[in-house]
Amino acid sequence: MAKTLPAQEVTRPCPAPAPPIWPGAWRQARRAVIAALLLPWLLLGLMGLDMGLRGGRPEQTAARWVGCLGLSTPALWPAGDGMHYPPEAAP
Amino acid sequence: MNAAGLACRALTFERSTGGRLLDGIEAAFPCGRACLITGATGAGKSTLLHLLAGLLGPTSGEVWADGQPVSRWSAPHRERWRQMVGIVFQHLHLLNDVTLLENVLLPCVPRPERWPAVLGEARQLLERLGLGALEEVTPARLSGGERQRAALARALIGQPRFLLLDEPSAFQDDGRIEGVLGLLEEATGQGGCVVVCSHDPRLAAADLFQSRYRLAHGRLERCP
Amino acid sequence: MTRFCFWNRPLIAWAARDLGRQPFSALLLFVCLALLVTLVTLVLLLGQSLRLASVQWAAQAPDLVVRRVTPGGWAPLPVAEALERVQTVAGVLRPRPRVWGVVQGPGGPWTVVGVDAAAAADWPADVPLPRAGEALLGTAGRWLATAQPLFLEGRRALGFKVVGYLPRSAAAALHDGVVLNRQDALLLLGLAGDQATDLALEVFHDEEAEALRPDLASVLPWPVTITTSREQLRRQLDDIDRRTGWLLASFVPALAAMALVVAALGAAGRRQRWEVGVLKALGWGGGDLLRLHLYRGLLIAGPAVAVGSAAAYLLLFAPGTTWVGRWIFGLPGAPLPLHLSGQSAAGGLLLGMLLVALPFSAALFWSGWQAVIQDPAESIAEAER
Ligand SMILES: Nc1ncnc2c1ncn2[C@@H]1O[C@H](COP(=O)(O)OP(=O)(O)O)[C@@H](O)[C@H]1O
Ligand SMILES: [Mg+2]
Repeated sequence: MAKTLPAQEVTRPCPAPAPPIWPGAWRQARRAVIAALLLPWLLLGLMGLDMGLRGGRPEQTAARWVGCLGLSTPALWPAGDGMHYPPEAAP
Repeated sequence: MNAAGLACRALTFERSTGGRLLDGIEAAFPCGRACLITGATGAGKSTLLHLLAGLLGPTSGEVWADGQPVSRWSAPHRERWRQMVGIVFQHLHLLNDVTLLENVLLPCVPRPERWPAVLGEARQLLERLGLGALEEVTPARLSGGERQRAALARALIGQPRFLLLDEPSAFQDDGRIEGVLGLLEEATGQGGCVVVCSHDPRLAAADLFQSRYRLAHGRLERCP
Repeated sequence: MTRFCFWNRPLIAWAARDLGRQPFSALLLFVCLALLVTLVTLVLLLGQSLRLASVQWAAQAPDLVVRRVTPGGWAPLPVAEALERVQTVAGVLRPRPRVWGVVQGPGGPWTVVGVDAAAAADWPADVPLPRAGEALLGTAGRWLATAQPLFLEGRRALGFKVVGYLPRSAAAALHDGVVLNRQDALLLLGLAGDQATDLALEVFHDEEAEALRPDLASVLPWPVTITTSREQLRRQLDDIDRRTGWLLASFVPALAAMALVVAALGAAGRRQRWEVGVLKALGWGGGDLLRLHLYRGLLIAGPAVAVGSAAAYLLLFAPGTTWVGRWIFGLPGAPLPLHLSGQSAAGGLLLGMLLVALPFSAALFWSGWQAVIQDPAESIAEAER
């Protein structure tokens, strides 16, 4: 025999949904607020993550070539510039 | 001075151009009553309401609210006074680019403790004033009467203790005036102090107003 | 009595709705702020990364360089004599002659560096060591075809066969450079076989380099100039600081203009004043108006600052953006593989944010304060009459 529910439990009305507290036109505004509050943290978090993953590992190639060729100043700056290797005038 | 309500004591206001617009006004607007102030245009009715609302400072004399000399309060304290006041301006001053509903909600925006219930109340008020279908419309697209009723809803939403109305019937037809008067009656019934400025004879004929004043030549005289 | 709380949810929602009433000016402010943050942060981060790289490079460079000078300029150094005399000074390690100079080549001046078998010990395996008549090109020479001979003109004009290129990642070390066999370099620069351009030395500790100077000068029979790697580094760092400083200073007018516009937009305007008056008449307090003002500013500035910083970060540390370095420092076209140090990058990002956010906040507070102290009746009466 199938168990039947007490009648009153079957017919009890479900509670009325809570009335909205925001005007409809503000839904977009509230979404914008949430986005504006979350976006900075998201971006900062991503940058922090990237720094943690990639940072702290020195780029050695250029430094090794500086040692290899015995350069005093890396010729980072284009030739003819004041910062050019060698710093003093050419022969 | 412990009477509940608004009172003017030797209230004087001078125009910036010189000359007294209000000259030693003595009056009491007790709570639980509606008062009507009539007078010719330019008599200074709007100025008196601004003084009562704490928007203007009197040249001399005082405004008392619930036994407190509120016009003597410093600016930050006067904010507390203004929070007890609901005002309908003669020129309404609705925000024309936001919806009617938002206009009505505006006084409650800085009061988070009131907020959860306020949307329902605003809708109810608009419904009662015959604006239920227009809540998402901007005031710029409404008739003068509708805008005026929206301004009344905005004044009522904060459940003000002091309700000040400047020419609230200027754009209303007779049918609507009944509804407006009904709302004012309710406000007085709940112990509010209602002051209405108008030169509308239809309001002068209403039984709602237990006391009537006439403003002329800077003086406020009680009518029989 | 309710506790004061800065965050007021309906007020924040209204602030966002309020911004939506004038979306274009909000968007404009967002773009301006983000752009300013990007530019300022870019300069700061690039300066910092270059400083960091410079320190790394200086650690690899010779501690001391000795050059022979005459009243007319520098003069070639007789290798055997110089080596013999320098080795008498206690504390000198690994003295070695260097051959280098600047010559004319395709498209402008090129830095020539001569290497010989002595360099072969730590020479990278994937790049051929140039033999006689061969040349290795720096990144600036990648557009030159290997098939064509490379003509260089120093004291003499010579043609070379291009046998390879330095890796791109070496661009920062020797961008517009040519690596030649030492004999070829001597020939090209007009030096004799027993001469060198200068002498590079190492010392035990960096601090000794300074102390060795007088000793070195006294043992050598010719007038010399002696440069330490520290001096070199300081010169380089000063140059980086000077350039970043000038660039940051050039942003000051832009920052001031931004602050002025924000202040003016926030406080002035009849409409703005009227609305403040109406809100006050509706029971808004000065604190509420100030908060509304700050919320509006934060809703724009928060994302704008974050987006601007992220843009600067990406432009610098994501590979392939060469124009940044070229534009700011006139760096050559090759992508500069910048070392990313978490700590200094975070510092640069923070400083960039602050440099823009501080004037912005000041303007925001000022205009918010104007709203607080505004007399409500005046602005309403203005509109009533
Ligand atoms: N601060 C002021 N300076 C100069 N004139 C004023 C000032 N305030 C009000 N007035 C003038 O006083 C008169 C009364 O205005 P108002 O109070 O609006 O009268 P009512 O509402 O009775 O028509 C108007 O002519 C107005 O221009
Ligand atoms: Mg009037």
